[in-house]
Amino acid sequence: MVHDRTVVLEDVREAALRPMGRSGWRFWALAGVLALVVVVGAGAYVYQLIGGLGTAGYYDRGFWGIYEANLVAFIGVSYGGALVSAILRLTQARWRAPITRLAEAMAVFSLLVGAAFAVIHLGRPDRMWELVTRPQASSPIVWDFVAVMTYLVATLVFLSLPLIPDVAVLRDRFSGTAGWRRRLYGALSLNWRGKPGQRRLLEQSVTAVAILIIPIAVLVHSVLSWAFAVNSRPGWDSTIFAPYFVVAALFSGVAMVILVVAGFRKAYHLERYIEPKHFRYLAFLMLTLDLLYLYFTFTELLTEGYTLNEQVTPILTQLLAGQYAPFFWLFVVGAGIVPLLLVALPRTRTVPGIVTASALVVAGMWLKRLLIVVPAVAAPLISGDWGSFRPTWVALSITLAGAAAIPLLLMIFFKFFPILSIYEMEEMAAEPVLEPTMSEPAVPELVTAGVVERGIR
Amino acid sequence: MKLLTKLAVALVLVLGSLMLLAETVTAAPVQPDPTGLSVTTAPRLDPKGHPMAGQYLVVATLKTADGTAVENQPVSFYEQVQFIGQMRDALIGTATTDSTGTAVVAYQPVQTGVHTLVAHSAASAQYAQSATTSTLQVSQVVSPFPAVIEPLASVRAALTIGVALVVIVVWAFLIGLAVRAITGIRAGSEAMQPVE
Repeated sequence: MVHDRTVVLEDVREAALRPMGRSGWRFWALAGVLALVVVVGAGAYVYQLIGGLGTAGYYDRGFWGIYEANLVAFIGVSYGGALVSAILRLTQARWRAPITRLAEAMAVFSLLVGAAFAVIHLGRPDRMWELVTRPQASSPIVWDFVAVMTYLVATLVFLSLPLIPDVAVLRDRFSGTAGWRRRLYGALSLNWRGKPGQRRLLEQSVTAVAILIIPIAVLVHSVLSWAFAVNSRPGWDSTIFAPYFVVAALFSGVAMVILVVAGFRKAYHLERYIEPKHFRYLAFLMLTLDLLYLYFTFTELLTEGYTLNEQVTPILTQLLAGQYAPFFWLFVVGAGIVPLLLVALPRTRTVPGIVTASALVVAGMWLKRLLIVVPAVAAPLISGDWGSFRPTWVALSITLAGAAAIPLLLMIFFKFFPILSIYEMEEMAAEPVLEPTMSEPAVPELVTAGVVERGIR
Repeated sequence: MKLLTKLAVALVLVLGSLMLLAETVTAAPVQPDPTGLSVTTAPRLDPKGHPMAGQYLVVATLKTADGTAVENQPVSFYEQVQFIGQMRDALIGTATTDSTGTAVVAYQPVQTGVHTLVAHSAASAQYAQSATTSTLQVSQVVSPFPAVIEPLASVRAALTIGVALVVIVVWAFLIGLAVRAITGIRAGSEAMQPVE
């Protein structure tokens, strides 16, 4: 079935540039609240710098805690954003156009926030410089630093290249003005005129980055997992930690993309362009990753629980039936089973249902990261009592500030750049398309020698 | 009878006073002799008389003020080290002086540079305490532990270089890609040939 997808170009541009117009009181109220949370978090960080990591609840038997969980969680969602966009670009998924910009911007900003938690977790930010001046090649932290920096450059390039034609639209729009916007967009548009050579070069470059960003993102999260796995500490010393972390990142990342897309869709009334099918497709991806993550969790627990190594057994006991059990089972039900049911059942596979499932996944996966970090640290390696990590108001304020910074940065970014990829949406609109739907084949059935073939573009 | 009692009490008092006086005379303090301690270092020699690399002898000599050697006195040897921001004395060893007043310990530093060594003779009933320091310039150290070839050491070194090369290639590719896109798009790229 051939769909008529001719969209009035001006409508697309108006929708894409909608956040750049005059903002209502709701925008400023939300931005104010988010900014306040960030400022309180910044103040708490200054307090922590003065008083030391002990003010956040850290001590010798709780030396890793909430900041390490935040680091993994925020970099993880960044990974999901970049990968969703990269995979959709490489597979030429036509429905990607309205969501790629949001996913790519989310990838950059959540990565910035995640990387900031590496510094906060360090306690002594002045020592970051020693990673550059006195790197220790056998330390996973050094390679973490290298991997995150590489991934940051890749995500910036990945966000910037597809922006060039859209910035040219802004340049043309502000060409008659004398303000800073005209100069800014004029410089950033790189003399884009939409010529065939320019288009070809842009598409080649974006494809190359999309190919490259997938292994980089996999490596980044693998290196992040090795900061745990290469320790001989029970609970961390696991061979499957790298793929386990990668799947976790993808799972929470896709959920975060859904939340970001839903939030901006609702705020800027983009329902015409971001349709329920976008949520359904992303939800199916999330469903697959949910099952995969539950499988990895089961594998990890089975292999450790079956051998019952004397060092791992106390941690497993605490996790499954001890002091951490309520949190662990909350994660299994809240982030594993309930989202799975919400997406699997047609009755709840609606936009609100999918958004609810995604919110549960993001929160539950953050909790899971905390459950990876804390029990292994708290377990006594020699003898004695269990340690613990109880985050103080300082740790919670800084964590909330990190969570608030991502939507705030996105809101600020989209005040200056289009929220939808105008170039891609116009390209898609210009082409007649054969698109499969859930209920009907993409092209008319071809009956050849009595065999029904279905072609899907 | 009363007289006898008085005489007995007087006798006890006199005897008691005499004993107390004698006690006081016996417990009069004896001033310990002041001592002087000197410390030197010398290369340690093997049985054939050759210097042993990275090994030294720390030699302390204890004498009284008039130059008489002090025998059978323990001397403790320390090295001044910085420990959590403070200078502290780390014990090297203890030796007893011989008939020439000399006490010797073997010393094998683990770091090159200037080492400050301390010799200390504790106070005794006969001799006062004494301490002195000396510095030793160490240009060569030998590990006291046998060298162990770490497993997979060669693989580990190659792995580091390999990973570093991959990182450099990725960075070069990313930067090259961005520069190519920026310059190409800016130039208009009308003349570019399609690349299959």
